[in-house]
This record gives sequence, C-alpha cells and structure tokens, in this order.
Amino acid sequence: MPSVKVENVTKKFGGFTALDKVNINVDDGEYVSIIGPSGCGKTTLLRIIAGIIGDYEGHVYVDGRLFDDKPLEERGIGYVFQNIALFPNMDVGGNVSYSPRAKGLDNSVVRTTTMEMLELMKLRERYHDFPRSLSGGMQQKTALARALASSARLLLLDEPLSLLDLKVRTELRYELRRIVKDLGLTAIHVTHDQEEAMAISDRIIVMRRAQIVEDGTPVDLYLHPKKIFTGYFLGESNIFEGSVAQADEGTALIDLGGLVITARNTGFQTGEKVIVMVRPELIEIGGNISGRVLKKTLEGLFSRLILDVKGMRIVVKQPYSTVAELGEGSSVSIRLPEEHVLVYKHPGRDLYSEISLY
Amino acid sequence: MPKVVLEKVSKRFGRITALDKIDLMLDDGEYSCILGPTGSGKTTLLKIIAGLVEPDSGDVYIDGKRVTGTPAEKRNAVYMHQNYALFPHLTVSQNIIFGLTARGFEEETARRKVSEVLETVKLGEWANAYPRELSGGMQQRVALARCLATGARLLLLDEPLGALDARLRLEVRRELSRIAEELNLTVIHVTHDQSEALSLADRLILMRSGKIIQTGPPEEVYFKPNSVFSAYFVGESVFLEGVVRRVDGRIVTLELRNGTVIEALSNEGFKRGELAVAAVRCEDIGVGGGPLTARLKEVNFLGSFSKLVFELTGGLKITVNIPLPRFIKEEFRIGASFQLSIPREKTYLFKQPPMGLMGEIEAV
Amino acid sequence: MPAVETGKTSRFREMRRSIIARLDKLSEKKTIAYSLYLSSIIFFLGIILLPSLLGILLKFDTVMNIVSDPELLHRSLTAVFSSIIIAGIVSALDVAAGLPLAWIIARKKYRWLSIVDSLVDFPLIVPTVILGYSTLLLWSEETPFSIIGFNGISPGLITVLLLHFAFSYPVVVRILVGKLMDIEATYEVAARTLGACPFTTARTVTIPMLKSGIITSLILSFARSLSETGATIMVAGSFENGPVFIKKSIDAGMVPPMVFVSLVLIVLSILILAGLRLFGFKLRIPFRKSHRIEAALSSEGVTRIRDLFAIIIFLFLVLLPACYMVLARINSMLSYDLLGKIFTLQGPWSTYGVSVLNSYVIALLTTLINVMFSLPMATIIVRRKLGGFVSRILEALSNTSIIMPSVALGVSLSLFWGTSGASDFILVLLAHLCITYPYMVATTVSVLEDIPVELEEAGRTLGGTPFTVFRSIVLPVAKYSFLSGVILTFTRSVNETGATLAVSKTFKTVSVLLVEWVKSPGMRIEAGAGTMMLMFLSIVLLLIFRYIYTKGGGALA
Repeated sequence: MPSVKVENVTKKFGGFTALDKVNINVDDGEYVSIIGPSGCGKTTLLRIIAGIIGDYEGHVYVDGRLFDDKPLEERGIGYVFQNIALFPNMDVGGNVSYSPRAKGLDNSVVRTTTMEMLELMKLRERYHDFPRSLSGGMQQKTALARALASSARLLLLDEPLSLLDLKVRTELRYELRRIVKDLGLTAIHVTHDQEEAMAISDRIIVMRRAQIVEDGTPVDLYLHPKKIFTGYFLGESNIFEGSVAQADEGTALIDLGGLVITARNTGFQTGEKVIVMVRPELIEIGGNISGRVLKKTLEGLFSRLILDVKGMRIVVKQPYSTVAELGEGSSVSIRLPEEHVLVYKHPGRDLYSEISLY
Repeated sequence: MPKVVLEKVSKRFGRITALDKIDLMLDDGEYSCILGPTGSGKTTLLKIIAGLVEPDSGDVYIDGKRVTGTPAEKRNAVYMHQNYALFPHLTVSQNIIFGLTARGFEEETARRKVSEVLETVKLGEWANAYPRELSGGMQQRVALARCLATGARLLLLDEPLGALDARLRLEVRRELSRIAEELNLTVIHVTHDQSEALSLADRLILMRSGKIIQTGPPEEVYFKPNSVFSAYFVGESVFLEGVVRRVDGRIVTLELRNGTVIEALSNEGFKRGELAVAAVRCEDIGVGGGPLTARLKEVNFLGSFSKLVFELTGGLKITVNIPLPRFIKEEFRIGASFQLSIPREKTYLFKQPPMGLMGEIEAV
Repeated sequence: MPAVETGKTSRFREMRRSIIARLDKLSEKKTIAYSLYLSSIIFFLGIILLPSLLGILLKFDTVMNIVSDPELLHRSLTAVFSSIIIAGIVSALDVAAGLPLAWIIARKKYRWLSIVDSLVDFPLIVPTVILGYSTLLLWSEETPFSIIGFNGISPGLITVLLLHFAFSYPVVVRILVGKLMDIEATYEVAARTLGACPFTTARTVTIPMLKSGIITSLILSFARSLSETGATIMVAGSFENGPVFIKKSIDAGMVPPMVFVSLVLIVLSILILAGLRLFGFKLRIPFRKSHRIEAALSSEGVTRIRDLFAIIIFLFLVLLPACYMVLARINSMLSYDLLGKIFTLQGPWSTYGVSVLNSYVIALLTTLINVMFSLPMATIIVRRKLGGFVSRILEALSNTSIIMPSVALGVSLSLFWGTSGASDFILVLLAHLCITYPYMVATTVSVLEDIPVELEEAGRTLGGTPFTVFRSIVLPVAKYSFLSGVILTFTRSVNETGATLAVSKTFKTVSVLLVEWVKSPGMRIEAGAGTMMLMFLSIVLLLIFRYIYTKGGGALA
C-alpha cells in the first residue's frame, strides 16, 4: 500500500535552490496537502515524487522501495495537472482509456475499467465528446478519471482546481476528497489556496522558500501554529509587535504600545520582545477594550469590522446578525480571549520579511 | 465626472448572445463589481464600456457624452486585462510612460507621474526591471500603476486578482480598495468570486447568460436575493424544493419531497399546490433545539468557519456554516443526531424556475 | 532614454514627432485603414495573382495543339506524372527523415545541438542551382565515394530525388522544430505518468498533435519540388519532369507545352493539396493498445541508433551536397591566383560584381515592397477585418505562386507584361515579388497570430492610436519572428533562377550568372569561387542585417 517518504531532497535549478533538504512522510490512505506561496518549491517536490524532475540530491521512497531511478511510466502514480492536459486529439473515452491501453491490457479489461471510471465521475454521456467542448470542471473530472483508470493507488494533484471558477472549484473539492476516501487512495495535493487545503486534507504541510515550515492537522495549524508564517498564511490575522510587560505563572501581560492585553505565558520573560497574533473571528464583542468602527464590509457569513483602538487597527469578524446595529463611526467594546492570543518570540528581523509571500 | 450609462446594449458573437439588452447606470466615484459565472457576458460588457468591442445595438454614455463608436483611446476610461498585458519589450517605467505620452503628456510631467504612481503601488525600486523579472503580484501592481498614471478617472478591471495566489489575493483586495478610495476613482471590476465582490463593491451587478439578474448594494443583494440564481451565486444557501400546502397571509407552508414541512414569508402570491423553491443561508440554519431531526454526516473545517453536512430523513442533505468560536466550544461528532431549525423570517421563497432547480444552480 | 541633443538632432526629432503626429491622426480615420487594406488587395490581385495566371490563361487556346498531338501529349503527361511522383516521394522522405532530427533539436539537451541547429539553415543560403550542380558533382561526376567503390550514378531520376530532398529538408526541419517546441511538455509527461513508454507517447500523443506541422511540411516540400526548375535541369540528364519539359520546350521556342503542363500541374496540385488539407486533418492513427515491441523501441540503445541515423542522413544527404562544390574545388581555388582577380574585379569578375549588385538591389526592393503590402494583407487575414470567409479565401489564394513551376511563372509573367514595354529589371522584380510573396504573407500571418490581442487592446485603452500601438508595440514585440520572414524572402530572391531566366535575357542576377559559368566548361573554378564568395557575402550581410535590426530597435519604439 502506498506510503511516501522523501528524504533530504535538495534540488537546484542553476543557481536557484528550489528545494532545500526537504523531508516528508505520507502514510497509506492519508490525504495530505502541500501549501505555500508561488515559488516555494511545492510543485517541484510533487514532480520529483512523480519522477518528472530528476537530478536531485536525496531519496524518494514509495512503499519503502527506492524510486530515484525508476522511469516515470513504471511508477504507477496518478498525476493530475493544473492545466488539465487532456489529450486534445482524443475524446473523453479515449483519454480515460489511455492508461490501460498504453499498458497493453486486454480489450475487455480496458473497456470495463474505462466504463467504471466514467460511471464514478458521472461522465458516461460524455464518452464521445472532445475536451474542447467540455466546461473546465468537466475537463478536470475527465482528467481525474483518466488518472484513476491507471489503477494508481497514489494520486498526486498539482493545483488541480486553480483554473476553475470559484463555485465549481468549491464543489469539486469535496467530490475529490470523497472519491479518494471511497477508493482508499493516498493523495498528495499541492495548492496555494489555504481554504482548499483545510477543507480537503487530513494533514497540511506548509512550505516557504524551498523549505518545510511545519505540518499538522488543519485545526491545529489554524488555531495553534508553531510558526508566525503558518498562522498568517492560513487565514487573516491581527499581527502586532509588542513586549512582555509582566510575566507571571500561567499568564503574561503584553504591551502592544499603549494597549495591554493578557495572554497565556508559555515561558516568556518580562521585557522580552514578542509578536502577538489573534484571529479576527475569535475576538469577542463586549469587553474592556473600547474602540471605534472605521469600516464595515459584508464578507459572506461574517461582517468584517476595522476598528481603531488607541491608534491601532484591529480587524474583527463577527456573524453579521451580532453586529447588525454597528455602522461606521460607532463605538464598540471588544475582548481578546486570552486562550486565543498567540504569542511568539520576536524573530529579531523585521516582521514583514517573516511573513512576506514572495 | 465619470458616470457610466448603458442603454439597451446587445452583442452577439455568431450564434451566441453575449449581451441581451443591458441597461445600467453607475454613479461617479462608485466601486461596482460585475459578478457572474464564466460565459455570463461580464467581460464583453466591460470591453464595450472600454471601447474594445462595439455593441451591435444600444448606446454607451460616459460623463453624459455618447461614446458609442468612439475608439478606445478617445474614451476617458482605461481597461486592465486579467493577464495584465504588460508590454514585454518595455521596462516597468517605459510601460507606464506609454500611456502618458500616448495621451500627450510632456516628458518632464510623464517622468514625475511615473515615480508618483510607482510610489502608490510600492514598486519604486523596480522602475527599470522588465515584466518577466517580476513576480505575479508585482506584475499586477505594475499593470495597475500603468492604468492609474493615465489619469483616467474610470478604471475597468477584468478579473484583476484572478491570477494571484489565494492568500495574496486577500492582501491585494485591501490594497485595491484603499487606492480606489484615496484617488476617488470610479471602478468597474469584473469577477467570479462572490466574496471579493461583496467586500469590495459599493454596487454589485449580478450577471448570467448575457442578462443582469440583480443589481444593488452588496447587503441588498445578499439579504434580499431576487431569484434562485441570486441566492445561489452570492453567499451560500441551502435550496429546498417543495409544494405549497397552505398560504396564510404572508406565511407560506411548504412540504418538501421527504415530507418535512417548513414555513417561509412571502408577498409573491403563492397558491396552494404550486411548486416552489425555498432558499436559506447556510449560516441562518439553527443547530440545536429545532423541529427537524438530522444526523451529522460530514465536518469540513475551513478556518474562520466550518461547514457541517447534515442528513434529514429521506436522504435530504443540509449544509450549515458554523463560525469558529462556536465550532471550538461545542462538540460536533460525525454520526451524532441534532435538531435543526429553519427560521421562516430568513427563508426566501421563489417560484419553481422553468428549467428546474438544477438548471439554476448546477455549477459543474 | 536620456539623450544629448544637438540642434540638428532636435530638429530631426521635431520633424519625426510631427510626422508621427500626422500619421497618428490619419490612423484614427477608418477610411485610411480601409484604403490601406484595399490597396494591399489590389496589389495582390494585380501584381501577384493575375499576372502569374493570366499569362497562361491568355494562351489557353494553344492547349488544343498539344491535345491533338498524341506524341507531345504523351510526353507532357509523363512529365507531369514524374513531377507528382517525385514531389510525393520527396515530401514523404523529408518528413520521415526530418522528424527525428527535429525531435533531437527540440527535445534533447546536448551542447552540440546549437551547432546542428544553425547548420540546418545553411543549405538555404546556397543558390538552388548551385546546390544542383554540387549534387551532380557529389553523386555523379566527381564522387568522392569512389574510394569505397561507389563510382557515381548517371544523372536522372535518382539525382533529381537527391537534389529535391536536399533543398526541401531544411524548411521541413525548421517547421517541425517550431511546432514541437509549441507542444506543451505536460502532454507527454501526462502520457508517461499514465504508463506509456516514450515510443507509445510519441505515437499516440505527440505525433497526432504535430499533425498540422506535418501537413504544412508536406505541402511546402511538395510545392517546392513541383516548382523548382533551374537546379533540376542540371541534374536531370535525359529525365524529364514537368518544369524540365517546359524549360526544354521554351528553349525550343514552343509555348503550348508550357501552358498545358503548367495548367495540369496547377490543377492537380491544388486537388492533391486540398485533399491533404481536408483528409489529412481527419486522419487518425488508431490506438487500440500498446505492443511489447514499443517498450523495446524506447530503449536507450534503439534511440541512440535512431538519433545517429538522423544525423548521418542530414550530414551526407543535405549538408555535404550544399558545400561539396566549394569543398571539391578548394585546392584549385587556393592555388589559382583568383583572389587578386576577384578583388580587383578583373575579367569575368567585373560582370560578377555587377550581378551581385543587381541581385542585392532586386532582393532589397522585393523585400521592402513585399513587407509593405503583406502587413496589411496579414492583418486582414489574422484580424478578420473583412470577415472570416474573405480571410480564408485570401490566405488560400496567397499560396498559389508556391505551386507554380518557377519557369512557367516566369513565362506567364513575360507573356502578361511583355507588351507593356517594361524593362528587364522591372520584369525580374515582378517575378521575384510573385515568388516570395507567399513566404512573406505566411510568416507575417503567423507573427501576428502569435501576438496576444490583449497587448494591442491595452495599448488602445491606455490612449494609443492604432498607428502608435502598431509602431511601438506590435512591431517591437514581433520583430524577431518577423526577421525570419525578411531573411527568407531576401535569400529566396538572391537564389532564384528559374523565373529570372524566363523573364530576362539581359538583366543578370548573380545566381543566373553562376548558372552560366557552371554550364561553360572553362569557368568551373570561377563558378566554385563565385559560389563561395556569394555564400560568404550572404552570411556577412545577414550578420549586418541582424545587428542593425537589434540595435535599431530603439528607433522603432
């Protein structure tokens, strides 16, 4: 059964390091997403596992077997491409049956596998349609059926949804997960979309600048990221620089420059410089910090408020019904629950370079 | 002052009707978002305003002047392409100067303007770089700077954030809104991303198959959708098909396929026995303490909120969005049984669409 | 672009600015644009299309002379049949042998590939007639392979095939390399991840996607083989194909065979090429399943042998013939005190100098005029200015002169313009315009197709007039691919012989002169040296051209 192990892989393109001593482990049956800003090396990593890119240092194992020198057609990996890459000279049936034919299987096997996959993706009526006459979503479903028809147990997905319309993208995302789980496959899914990664995966690996930042379940990474970058990348956050005004057993008072808030003390000393991160939707209305609404916009189920609190900008997201009566200019009081105030050691460098997406 | 008016604008490409008698009026200084799925005609509409496509019939007015037939370069409007269309053979500053000299600015003034706009988009150090040397996010800012420099007060943006990473998109969204506000621009922004449209727009224009379905401030479209499609495309809703069983003043009782009975408020004059579609926002459905018994099938964590899929008797599925604070506090165990409620004052009721419910809301 | 301005340059700038401003104003008027389009269509119909065909049509009544003469009819039809067969074989061989080399150039990453890549173009700058003579020497009269027991073959069908293969091969490889590079690597990678070995991938994915490139290659080499005259005569011996037969009858003072054979050739090749376009695109390579042998064919050993084979074919059947004439003579050329004579323009070399000048003047004018008229034409075709239907018709018609035997084209032109009293210089110019026009239009069309329409749109909405946008965006972006069209037109004009010979007796281009030298036994060494000089000049000229083009880019912007 497919498990994947990448050991100390380094890849350079000319003078540019695309991957720098990367290690990952993916268990059998796991759905793992690799996320990061563009240029972080996530696609290169996926392509190395598939055997599309060679010439690297380190090793790739699938099911414990060394894969470094295996030609890509013998790896038995299903690969789904960002640009879909359906063969334009074949119809849907031709595309889906490509792999069993290329492997020289019997006609009857080719037929049953193809029909099974078309059935699974609800594409039966599209058998004789050519890719160009299909919508983007249909095309990607065909590409998925084509990859699955190779009877691969390991699926590598390279930004498979990013070229689709938003509505289509969100719907296909759940279908993708359901199929992978129903068939008991192992999947590695590369994306730059943090919401897609959280919705779809058992575990997320965050990458930045050719290295792994950290990995964990979506809930853990969103609520308790070990690195500032992870927290920033996974969703909107209030990020402040401050210093520890008073460190006690269990709690710490942190001075954000006028505004002093309480946080849990995880081993900080008085006077230490820190970075504080709070998710806008975890800030509560009603409390002892008062401010004024600068701007209010509707973003789906939340209203997003930008508050002015002692000259600081704090973003708060609340279900629209709870802040219906607030408008621009209204005064409001808020509370930053101490269990949701995340405190990090100040990296010393400037904050921007710590979280920059480039 | 840039004020855009469209009167009965139609456009066909071969057998396809891209735009069908569009009427539209946009105010000076307004930020409008044209929202719609692929193929709804939104880009064609934008290009007609820009003068890059001529309408088959109908008229376009900018600032009260009829501009139908006026070439693009003579309109006080500037269009930004989804893929930016930066001139590959020119540097960042030469790209920006192009629009200035083309509009007859003196070299001295042009040079000053270039450094000004590069400052606005924070790209001062990159003036002499070529587009290919920039990241996607930077290219986007150059394209924006190039438009801003022309001094045109009407900015036409075609999916300006579409080519960016999801996380970066959020940052640039804020940036765009800041610049438009500071420079008091009139912006028309085409997108298929409803959350982008909601958070940026003063006015939202929802399009489908060459027609405008609904237009108004985001709150109005969100809280008073005028059609099934509107409720589907803006925000997230659960759709329930059923037969009207009783009409009592504004209160309409609907029986769903699985026998469940729900109520909604409507002035639309529904009759007994009529087919209807009810739409409820996924966040408006009550979980805990309601008349409907449902089993939790799926939990999808999305960060600031989570998407829970419940199954009612008869296999009817209902998706509920739960904000993060509540998701942390309560336990949502898959397989457990919950009581759901569908508040009648938050349920929108529509006549059964002619093509059926799936004809309106099927995305793939 | 900071510049130190002297009084003179500033006045020059002022003038330039006012000219540009005036053009800008003009370009806004739709009438101006449409009269530009109209004039390009008139040029095409009046200068290119009708004269090339009308000469034949005017003498159409003479066709009966042939039909009523069974012996002449038989000879004509045999010649036509030979032409078609040769063109068919040559175009098939070109693709079969050219594809592997194109594949190596496009897909492999050896260091020496860039050398092979530029060597492929080398035969293009050798005048075709010289290539013919060179072929004759290499395979027949002075074969160097006698040391391995090959004593040469007598001129005839085989030498014609070898010659046609050599001159059409570079164009085929060029087209296929371009198309291969355009096919995204993702498709091949996708096929491989689905379990297809490299051979299966090529057979089922790459080659089907390459179909349009293969068809274009077939059409071009087919047409070129049908129309080539000058070189074919040289290697044909007593063998006759269409153009050779026409040339022989013209020399004997008979026009009717030319009218008849040209007509039949044109009609047949239009049918064949239309059939190729129509059915070629529908043709599918069936793929039921992969056979075990395909994996074996993908092995490294087999691939190496194939690559080696492709390169050997290129070296011996294309490159060697192209330079053999010079190679074979190099000793005598160096021992002879030729160089002094060449540079002091003594004896025959003064004629040579004049003819080189003639060639370059004609080539330059041809290129300029064709560039001027093919740009609006290509715009009409690509941007569908007059509707999709007109576009398609114009594109198809613009290719007519490619398939006409060049000698027939020449004769047709001289019949058409003959009564006008035009000088030989004008007649040669007109002939060269006709012959190079299709190449220029085709390149310009593909250049314009490659420029994203968004760039033009962006320029317009930023405030640029159509002229400004064309001048400062379209031209600079397109200039490198445009350059290849310009070079192709220029070299084709310098190397043309068939039509030139047919329209002019007194006005000699350098290629025509070289043909004369080759034919007179006492001038063979001069012919070799002259060819070498011409090749040298062409290379120098191309380099200068490229330099001016890249440096002068600023003036365009």
